[in-house]
Amino acid sequence: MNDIPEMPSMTPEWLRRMADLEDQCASVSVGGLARDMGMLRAVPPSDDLGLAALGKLIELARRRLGLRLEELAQQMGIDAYELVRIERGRGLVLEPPQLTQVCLLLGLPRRGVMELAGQIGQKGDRVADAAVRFAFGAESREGLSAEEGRALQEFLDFLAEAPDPE
Amino acid sequence: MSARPTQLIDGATGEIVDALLHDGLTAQDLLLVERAWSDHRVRIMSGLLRAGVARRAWPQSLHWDWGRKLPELRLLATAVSGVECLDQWQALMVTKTGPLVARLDKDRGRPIVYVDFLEVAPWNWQIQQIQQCAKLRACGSVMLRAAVEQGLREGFHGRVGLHSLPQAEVFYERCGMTRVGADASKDDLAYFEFDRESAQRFLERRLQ
Repeated sequence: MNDIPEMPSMTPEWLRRMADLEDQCASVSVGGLARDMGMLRAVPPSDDLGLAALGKLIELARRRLGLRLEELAQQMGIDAYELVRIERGRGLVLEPPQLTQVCLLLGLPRRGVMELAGQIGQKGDRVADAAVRFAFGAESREGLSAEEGRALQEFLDFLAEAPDPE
Repeated sequence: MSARPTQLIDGATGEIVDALLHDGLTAQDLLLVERAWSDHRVRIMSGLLRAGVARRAWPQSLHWDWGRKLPELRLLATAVSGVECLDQWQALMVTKTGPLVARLDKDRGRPIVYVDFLEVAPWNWQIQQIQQCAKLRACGSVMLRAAVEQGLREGFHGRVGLHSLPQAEVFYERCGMTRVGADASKDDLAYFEFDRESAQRFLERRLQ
């Protein structure tokens, strides 16, 4: 025997009461926390110089703003250790939503950064060449040296010129 | 994909508007959804940054990406449903049945509908810090109701389980779900369940 209870109809009154309840609550989302939701992705070791350049870019842009690593990690919602791995190009990459957030936080050109991270089309030679020059052209020290500042600005200017496919 | 009529509330006028509740969304549908939702996520993020809102106060699903859910669709006994209104997807939900069972003592071991993921479109979030009002309201409730109704159709008497994000715990408590407890296997997220009686009360709008 099919013992399925009667299903009450959804009434306008029910809808309005539930809408009021939802308005009073911060969220209705169900699911995992950030690290389960595709924010970060582990990648095998590779020779992708774009990732090394991206990590260097994030590090120098952060230091230029005077942000400590822990502060940026907190703003991004990831562990400081994970940010260390990202900045050093060590096997962790940011997914596009988080890359977007980093661009907003650090004032980076979103389209150029996406291209650098390989998120848009094929990385062309111009980006790859520039990435190599940038990634290996400056050493990491506390505070940006004049040379680091110049290298960073040149690379940012270059990324800002990335053509728009539309 | 099948569809049946439902309703939402227009956030600006308070009028009830017709919508469609779709079952059987595909991977392609999820990619299209996230394409539309991601632009608004970025806008919200920009607004929160400009307003200097602390990260811990941001909507906890802001970084979600439904395109990343594609592997879930290949799992058996997994269903994706969504509410469509004004030619846009207004809420999405992934439910699972099969090996998942109730944890409440009175129903322990009995089959349930497990809500794996549920999210309302970011333009339907009330975010006071950036003066964003919901374009359409009651979207999450309509999805939760759909989960309960699925549980009734499956013969589970409306039993539903879910792990709530911390910001959503109040909502599910006030819907009448029982807070079973923090689940160490799911990052200590709180696990909630509807039993037969509380599910019926929810459908009949007898809320906490």
